[in-house]
Amino acid sequence: MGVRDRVDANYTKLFADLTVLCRALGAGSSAEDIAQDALLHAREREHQLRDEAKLEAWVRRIAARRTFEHLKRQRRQGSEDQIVAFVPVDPSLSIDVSAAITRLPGRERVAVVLVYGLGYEQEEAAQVMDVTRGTVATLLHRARRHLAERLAGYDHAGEPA
Amino acid sequence: MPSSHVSSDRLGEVAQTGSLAGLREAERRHVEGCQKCRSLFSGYRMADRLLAASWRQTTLPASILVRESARRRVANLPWGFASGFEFRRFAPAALAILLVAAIGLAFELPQLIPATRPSTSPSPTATRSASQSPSATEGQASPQPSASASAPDNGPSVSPAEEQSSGVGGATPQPKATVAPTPGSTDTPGPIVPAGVSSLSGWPIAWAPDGGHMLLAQVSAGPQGGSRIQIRDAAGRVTGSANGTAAVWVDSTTVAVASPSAGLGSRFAAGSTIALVDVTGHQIGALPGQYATPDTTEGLDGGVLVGSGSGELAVVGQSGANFYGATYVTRNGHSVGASRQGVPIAFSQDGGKLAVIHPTYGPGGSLGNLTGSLEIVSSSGSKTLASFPRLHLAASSGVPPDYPNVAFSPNGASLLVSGTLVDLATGLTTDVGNGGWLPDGTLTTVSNGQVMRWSGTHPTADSRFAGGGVVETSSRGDVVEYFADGRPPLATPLPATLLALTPTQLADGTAAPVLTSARTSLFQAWMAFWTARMDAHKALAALEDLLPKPTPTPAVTPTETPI
Repeated sequence: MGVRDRVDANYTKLFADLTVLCRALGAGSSAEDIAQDALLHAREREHQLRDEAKLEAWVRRIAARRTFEHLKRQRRQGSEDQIVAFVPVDPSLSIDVSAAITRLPGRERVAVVLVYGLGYEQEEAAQVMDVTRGTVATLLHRARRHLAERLAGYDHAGEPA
Repeated sequence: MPSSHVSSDRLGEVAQTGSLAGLREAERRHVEGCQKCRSLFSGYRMADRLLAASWRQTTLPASILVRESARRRVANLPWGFASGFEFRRFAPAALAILLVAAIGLAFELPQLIPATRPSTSPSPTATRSASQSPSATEGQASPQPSASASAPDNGPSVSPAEEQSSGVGGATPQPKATVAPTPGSTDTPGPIVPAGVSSLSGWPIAWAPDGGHMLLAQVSAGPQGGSRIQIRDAAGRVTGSANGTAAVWVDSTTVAVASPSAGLGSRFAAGSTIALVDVTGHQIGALPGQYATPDTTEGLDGGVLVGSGSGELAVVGQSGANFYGATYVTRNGHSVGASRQGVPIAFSQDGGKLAVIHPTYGPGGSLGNLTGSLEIVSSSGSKTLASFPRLHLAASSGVPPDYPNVAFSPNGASLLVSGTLVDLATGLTTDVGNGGWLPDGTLTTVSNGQVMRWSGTHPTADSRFAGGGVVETSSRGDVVEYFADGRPPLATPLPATLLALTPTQLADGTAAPVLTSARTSLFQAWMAFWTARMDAHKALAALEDLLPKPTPTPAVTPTETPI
């Protein structure tokens, strides 16, 4: 079964998976469009996939790259009053604490979202980010340190001390 | 205290254990005495707590970034945080100088500016009041209702006459802005002349949990145009009424009513207020403020009421619901909890759990057609009991005025969401079709055109039912199947034999003896069926009136064609 057939056969599952990924990375209401584009791209460029066993990782990488391009274009277009973000929400913590995730450096934030937010294994996250697993581990370590430094002034209820 | 700080990595390492016990004695003594190290340690713990929380897509105001950094600047001042930089020592003095300069400038500025030149700079106060509060817990300047429960009972759903007679709303000063006049609010309050079951009219909403009373929406112009909730006892007699068309049972004697409302069932329109009335229609309380602030950008501008039947109430749309930022509050007893994110869809039968959908899909949907991840929270919403961020459910009713068909199993271990059965322990889902739970935990649904009884995830067809209809269950163990094509509903009070019932039997009460235990379902089934049928008849009649009457065609007589 070729790439095209596998994409068609698993379209619903792949589309849902990619939509969740794109949304988590910040695509907002464009997530479905990006996921659709990524799947179409995968069908058209099937020859670019070297290892067919890695189809899911490949389409995820395409979708992630397109999401980043989309976000870059969006930033150029100007600021917004509100930002749609995929963040951890603990009802007992202030929203400021949740927002700390959005202020992490780009690659660290992506690694955190993939691993902690979407539950990807570090290996899966590495494939999406096109880096090694070790790099993902390093990014997660740094992200945790940065978060700790940012949240150092907060008490247990998540309010500034 | 040792002078050298403990390294950040070392603090991060021990923070995972949750205590300082993993540090060496000297390190521990230092951390206990060093505010900077202690803060970093608590920062690590806060970060771990944050990363372990459930993730959701949510809307954050861009201003939060600015405000947070300002807070951190204050938090990092010498009196709040061990200073690591010298300039922090001078920060208070610098702030004081700036403040004095600003005040002096403010006084001097009008004298420096020529009198003919009008001042155009907005005042700082105006700027602050215009900024939107990002969090409902901090919404002092927000028009949203406060999380505190001590607000006065302001129930605009009840007419002034009713308020006076109840002695509740009238005794408490009410903000005029929230007492909006309601269309139809001049109706005479309180019980009216009892009516027989056969003369009932209106749109059925729900039976009380104990089956003692029912709610009907009195429609004035089609099913969406009603303006009054009627409360009737089991025999059909009116016991009370209140303005509004959206209502739910909070418990067997309390009804939450939204008004003014263009909604129906449990859904209400933007800008509504929520009153609590007893079965006589007298107001006994209210939720503070207005609900469902319109959101013109994302649609979904309504709200919804969810009642547990055992005292809890959840209301969505407190601060304007959209697909990225729906919020809700819960009310338990007399207190209203803080605003939380998500759309509540159902309470468990014991009222201890609340199922919440965190919508992920964009514009175009509605509260009756939600798609999102599922979270189970405590009844107050403060504690997450289970979270399924990767489980995306579609919760829809299939019937426009209704709210998604959702029900917890009696033991609270499973949730039926619009035909999908979710095991709340594992997150596994099974497509079972729409239906309901019986008290023994058996799920009864219509799946593939057949009435099925589910034991866990194993179905057994119930051949006593014809299939092809819609199934309802009652809390007493009854099953009813009713049909959209006009066939009479089928019912069985388990484990009795199947009874075929007609609307006439139900209406004149001849079927009552066998329906005693099944009345909850049966009446709703009949009303839904009967109302739909009546509406169809009315629509057809209206259509026939509009169409041009066919003129009688003259009999065709054979004529000879001239050659």
